[in-house]
Amino acid sequence: MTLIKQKNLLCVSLFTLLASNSSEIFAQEAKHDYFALSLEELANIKVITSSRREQSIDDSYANIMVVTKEMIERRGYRNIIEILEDLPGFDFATYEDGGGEYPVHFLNRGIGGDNGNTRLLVMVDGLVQNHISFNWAQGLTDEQMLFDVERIEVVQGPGSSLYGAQAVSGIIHIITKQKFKGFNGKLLLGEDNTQSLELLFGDNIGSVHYQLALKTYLSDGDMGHGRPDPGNFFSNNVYPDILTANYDANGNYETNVANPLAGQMIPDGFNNSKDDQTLRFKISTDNMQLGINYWEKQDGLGSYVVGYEYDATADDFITHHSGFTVYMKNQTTLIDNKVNWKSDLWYRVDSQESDTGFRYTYRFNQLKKSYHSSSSQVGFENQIDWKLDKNKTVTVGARLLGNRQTEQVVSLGQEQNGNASTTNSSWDIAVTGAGLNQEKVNEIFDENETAVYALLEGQFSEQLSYSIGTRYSNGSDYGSTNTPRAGLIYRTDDEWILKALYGVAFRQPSLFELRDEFRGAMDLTPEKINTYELELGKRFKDLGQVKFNLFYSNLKDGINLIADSSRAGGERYANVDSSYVRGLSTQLNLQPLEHLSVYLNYIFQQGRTDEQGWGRLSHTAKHKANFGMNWQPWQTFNVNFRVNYIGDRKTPESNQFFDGRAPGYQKVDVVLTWADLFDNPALSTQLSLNNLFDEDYYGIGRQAGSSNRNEYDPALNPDPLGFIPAYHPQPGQSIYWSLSFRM
Amino acid sequence: MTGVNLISRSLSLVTFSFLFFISNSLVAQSEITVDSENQIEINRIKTAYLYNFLKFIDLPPNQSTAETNSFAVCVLGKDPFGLALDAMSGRKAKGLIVFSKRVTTIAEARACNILYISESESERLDLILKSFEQSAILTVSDIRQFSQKGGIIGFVKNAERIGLEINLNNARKANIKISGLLLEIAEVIE
Repeated sequence: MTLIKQKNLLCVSLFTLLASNSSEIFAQEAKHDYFALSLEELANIKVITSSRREQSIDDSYANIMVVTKEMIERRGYRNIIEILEDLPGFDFATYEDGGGEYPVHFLNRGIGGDNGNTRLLVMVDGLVQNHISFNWAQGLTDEQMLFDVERIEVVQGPGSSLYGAQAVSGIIHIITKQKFKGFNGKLLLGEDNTQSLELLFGDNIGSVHYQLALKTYLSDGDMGHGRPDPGNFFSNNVYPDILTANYDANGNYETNVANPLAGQMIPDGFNNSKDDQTLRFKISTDNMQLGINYWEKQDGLGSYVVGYEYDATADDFITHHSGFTVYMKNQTTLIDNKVNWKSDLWYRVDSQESDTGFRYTYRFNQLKKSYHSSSSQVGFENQIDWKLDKNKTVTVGARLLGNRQTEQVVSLGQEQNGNASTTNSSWDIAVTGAGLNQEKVNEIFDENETAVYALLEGQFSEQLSYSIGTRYSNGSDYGSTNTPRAGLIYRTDDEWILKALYGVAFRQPSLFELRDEFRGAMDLTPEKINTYELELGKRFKDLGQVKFNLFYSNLKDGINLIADSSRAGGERYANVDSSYVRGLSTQLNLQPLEHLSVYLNYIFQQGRTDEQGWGRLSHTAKHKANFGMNWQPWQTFNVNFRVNYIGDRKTPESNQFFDGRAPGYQKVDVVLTWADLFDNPALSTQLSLNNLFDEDYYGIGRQAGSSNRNEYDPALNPDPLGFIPAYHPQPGQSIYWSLSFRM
Repeated sequence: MTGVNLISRSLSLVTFSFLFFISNSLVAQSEITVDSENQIEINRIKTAYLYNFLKFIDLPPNQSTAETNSFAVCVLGKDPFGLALDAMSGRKAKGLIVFSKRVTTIAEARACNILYISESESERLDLILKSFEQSAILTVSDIRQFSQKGGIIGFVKNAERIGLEINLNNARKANIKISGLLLEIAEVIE
């Protein structure tokens, strides 16, 4: 019996067993029996909206999609990537693994796709998660905890006027539960020794509330086995006959020496193991909150580089990052119902631990090339919301940032002190043959940023409201920039709503782009994007709503590499690109019956450059759609069914495996949830069947994806041009089971 | 990674968490939060309120109640609660069985003990409230300024809660006594 059939049989058996034990009560969606609550308990139920200034989605001058904690629970989401797959606009190169030493590679409405996706801002409770030095969008895979999340707001379109840099394509804002009381836990088990435990605890001591959330996620990963690899980038390869460069046991440099592994098969696949931990602890009073957030990710590098040039299945083929934040938030009403003051103070550290790295197959094959860095930031932000009258509010704010940045320190052989900006065994020196274990000191850069912003929101009439604002940012590394925004919202009645939005956002040049010794350019200016958007929404009372969005974006001064013969590498960074994206997206959410809800979203997008007319965007599908249905036939049983449809995708010219087009795919996920397990309201269990029909699919090779497997020859050409594979294979059918309790 | 690793980490996590748990000795019930966009969940909470009102009001003797030995909780107009309202039927309050029903006319509504007036009836609200002014029927609604317009209990949106606004004067006219426990959690207007 094949593995798939065995898995399906197990699922059917489990389903039958549990379904027969479920009690049939009323067809209600709620997990809580509100009738059993006392009057005081009913009165204490909190109804939460979250935005920078507590607005409903209809009132927000942005294209916002909200993912609630109920949606996260019902759909069995394990990480942010799974959530984004069900939203319109996201095209993935790598998904929840395979990012390599960078967190992720994907595009949002055609923008992004660079290493670490620096054009997307990620926040947790208003605290920026993007890497301090490299701007990478962090915290999107299993190092992020969803167990203590109240809701996630995904804003598409520019958000710099309120939130600053990196909010170019959009913002992912994770909002955690506040003042949670109780003790919840969740155990998750899956294939390949996947095990996860999450705990959430909160209580009061007098008027002080404290809350602790913990997560550990472990998995051996499937090692890429069973994933589609039609081009043999990760399979059926042989070790090269020679090592093009090496240091012998005595530390002597040698070239073109016989490889002891010559002729042997390179193990198929790639290390995509996971070892992730997260902690969030906060103490709150009515006005103040102190907290500590910590996350650590030690994962296999996955499919981000080809398997014939790198020892991709090795245990030490890993990325190891961590992030730490300590913060204090204060919120005070200065004048009742009129003036509120919010103040945030934080200290952050982003570390890349020195066991991040890999070994080549064709050179220095016993010595690990490793990367480490440590950057820190101190920030202070103040914001005042002033309600001028019933219809007008002014928001003013200021932010100060001090960053201490280091580049990635690259070493060969010896494991380094990850917090240092030095190495005892510089790769840059070793690769030239000048010797192993040579010290190199990397420079530390101190950068500061100041920003002030102001926003005015008001109403011309009951039906027409407006917002206008701007942010002025000044960075010691990149100069100054203005990012305005404006919006109009027109409501015909309770049902129709029309929004017209304009915004500018920026991404400051990263430390690497500015200061890399071979390619850096200190005269780089920030990239800027202008986005125009029209949104038309209609509510069908008691049934649902539909929303249409037309958007047009122009990314100016995009930073990219250009040829420069004066540089050692023959190239340097410059502000060169202009690109344009336009598209239409639609979202439909309906609740035709009390126990049944459905959603459908679709996006069409195109792009052009200054040289080429409108057409498909590289790395994206012209058409993408997602459909989902949630059905709760009885109170204690829930079925969630979701389909992702991705049309065929355009590949860049540099990607030699595909002839301009890569196939699309359709993926189906089903999640079954049983509450009140064994008639115990504290217990529930869930079975998740991801990629139910075992669809073969992959992400398009990140960036150039230019490796040509046909050029690899273990005897004659062990190091062909390019190291990024043409695609990143994704898993087939996967099963996860979880057990949750709440006290 | 092996199972041994998970076991040891899990034990650490659980032990750490239980230290917090034990150090406070009281296990607080989980705080319930609801998304403001989740109208279905909010309506379920409101039906729970309707049911609870029966426990905290004194109604004068009613012929219908005496005959049926039950309380009637009714919705006049377009029903926003759906199956949540049906979930109330069969429960008990003050020893009597509660049943829920949907009514479309004022005449039908006269047999109710609690009458939720739907927003669909906004335009004829004055007529409805005048009809029940001195009837021993607890009128409840989400219609804006309901308790100022002659109703007894209005659901209102507070900053983070589902609020209640109770008009004691209107309650007295209807000969309904409201318990201090209910008044404590509400905003009271005379």
